[in-house]
This record gives sequence, structure tokens and C-alpha cells, in this order.
Amino acid sequence: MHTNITLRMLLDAAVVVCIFLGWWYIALPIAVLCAWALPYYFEFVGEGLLYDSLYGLGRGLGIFGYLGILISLFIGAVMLLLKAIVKL
Amino acid sequence: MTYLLPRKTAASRRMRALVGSAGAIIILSALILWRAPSFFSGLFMSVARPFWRTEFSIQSGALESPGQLLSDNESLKRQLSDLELSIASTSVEATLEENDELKAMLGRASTTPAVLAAVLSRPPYMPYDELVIDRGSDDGIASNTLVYSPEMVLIGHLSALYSQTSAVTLFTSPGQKYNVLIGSSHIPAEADGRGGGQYQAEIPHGSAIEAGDIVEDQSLNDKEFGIVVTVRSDPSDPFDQVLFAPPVNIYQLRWVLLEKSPETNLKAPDPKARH
Repeated sequence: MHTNITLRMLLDAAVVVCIFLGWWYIALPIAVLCAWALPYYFEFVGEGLLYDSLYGLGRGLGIFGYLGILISLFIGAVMLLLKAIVKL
Repeated sequence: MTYLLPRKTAASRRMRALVGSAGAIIILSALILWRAPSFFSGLFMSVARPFWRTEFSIQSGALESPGQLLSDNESLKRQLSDLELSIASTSVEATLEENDELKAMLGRASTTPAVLAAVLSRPPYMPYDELVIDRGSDDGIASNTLVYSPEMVLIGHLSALYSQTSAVTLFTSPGQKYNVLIGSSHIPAEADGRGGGQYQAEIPHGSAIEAGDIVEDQSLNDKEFGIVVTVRSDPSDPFDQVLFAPPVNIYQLRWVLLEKSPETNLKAPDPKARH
């Protein structure tokens, strides 16, 4: 149990650092894997918000300023659906 | 009679609490975004700043061996003294003085109040044509400040201002427009950002513009804004498409200069100074 929480926190930290450094192409696959492998991966939405806050929001980009949140919500929902199908 | 297992009920409660908490956090975040759109940006920029500073230091060679740093330091000192010697032996100072006098006669300041800023994050790591710099409102920077490359090429403006960092939107960013003068005949046009460090402008068909011509911004600074890369001409179209790019590589910028606005450089001509 503790190992799972530690691993989860380490993966979250890795995603956050990758977002800070602008390495979205590393952050996104890790986050998608986490969304698949870990239960209730709500951090995905927070990471999307973090990405938009750093690079998108308030720049006059319209809907594109919310790309991180929208993609995280979409992928999170797809993963939940896929996991429910696989469990059935 | 059927009874729910206590363990299952506890798990179900935990799940409901978890989903409820997540939902509450999402709703709260949405409310904050609605009421104060720059709240999260300011907060996360402050958290991200140390990471960007570390990355910048690593790229600047902070992790090199002490011996290498000492050697670089010695080499730079030698270069500096060589340059000082070469400046002293030429008439550069006299030319600069003359330049200052001429500019003063024309009512223009010889120096501009520029602030040096380090580029913490830049394309292509940034998703849009944007830079993040290490100067903010704490350094007395105002919003809409124009941003120049170290070669004094106008490249963008501040689009978001935080306490210790700022976001710079490059004029090459899609949707950005800036008035320019193209070529030696100074044809006025509007530069449209195309992304990836490229501009596009429309000029009347038949204008004598060709690749390599200089593009200037329309302020009185006469600073180089770009260099024409190609001109697309169609006989059936009354306009030619001019594609041009800044003379500096925006992907390699490490430092930028901030200037309050072109107007702050203008001074009313002093009639006494002319006579």
C-alpha cells in the first residue's frame, strides 16, 4: 500500500517537473499510463490546469488556453470508460 | 433478507468521498478561474521559477568543472581587454559622440532605458510562440512593454505580467499583427505572425521587393524588424505575399531587452539645441 502511494507520488512529481520544464511530450505519456494503471487518477486534471496556467491561460488564446484541462478531462474520461469495459 | 457487507459499504463510502472531494476541487478551481483568471498562473509561475532558473544555470554552464569555469573566466577577461584596446585605438568613441549629437539634434534620445532579462523558457519547449523571462512587476516592468533581442530587434511584447516572471508573446505568434515598412522604398504593410518565427505581409503587386530586403518597424527607431525570405507573386492577384523572418533565431535567445514603449524614447526637439 505504502509502495503504491510512494510510486504514485513519484510519478506525480515526475509529471509536474516535466510540465515545469515544458517537456509535455514526456509528461503526457506518463500521465496517460498513470491514468490507466492507477485508480482514480484525478491528478490528471490538476496537471492539465498546471500546464494551462503556465503556458495557456490569460494569453488571449481563447479555447486553446484551456487545451491542457480539456485534454486531461477527455483522456481521463476515456480511461475510466476503457477500464470499466475491461473489468466487465 | 439481504444485508450489505460492512467492508463493501466502507469501500463505497471511501469512493464516494474521494469522487466528491475531486468534484468539489474541480468546481472550486473552475470558480477561481472564472473570478480570477491569473490566480493559478501567478501561483504556478512562482513555483516553476526555481526549476526554470536551474535549467537556465545548467545551460549556462554552471555545472562545469571549476577548472573549466576559471579557464573560461580567464579567456573572457583576455577578450575584454583586447576589445578595450581595439576600441581605444580606433575612432569608435568619436563616432559614438557624433551619433549622440546628431540624435540629440533630431530630438531623439541616444540611449534607451532597457532592462536585461534572462529567457527561462522558450520555443520549441513552449507550446506557443512565447517566452518566459525572469523579470516581473517587482522589477518595475509595466504591462505591454516591448521586447527586443540583444541585437535590438523588436520581437514581441509582454502579454502576462507576474511578480517575478513575465510571459512574452512574440510578434511571430499566430494572430499577432504589427505595422512594418518593407524594402528600401519603405512600403507600409501589416506583418501577420505565422508561428515558428515567420511573418507574412501583403504588398501591392509589382512592388520591387525581393529576398534579402530589410523590413523595419514603423516607429521612429528605424530598427531592423526582419529580412525578406521570399515573395510569392500571382499575376491574377493584386497583392503579393511577402514572407519574412526576424534576423535573430528566436529559438536560441538566452537574453532579451525590455523597453517601456517606443514613445518613451521620443523627446520634443529643443529649438535652442539646433542653433
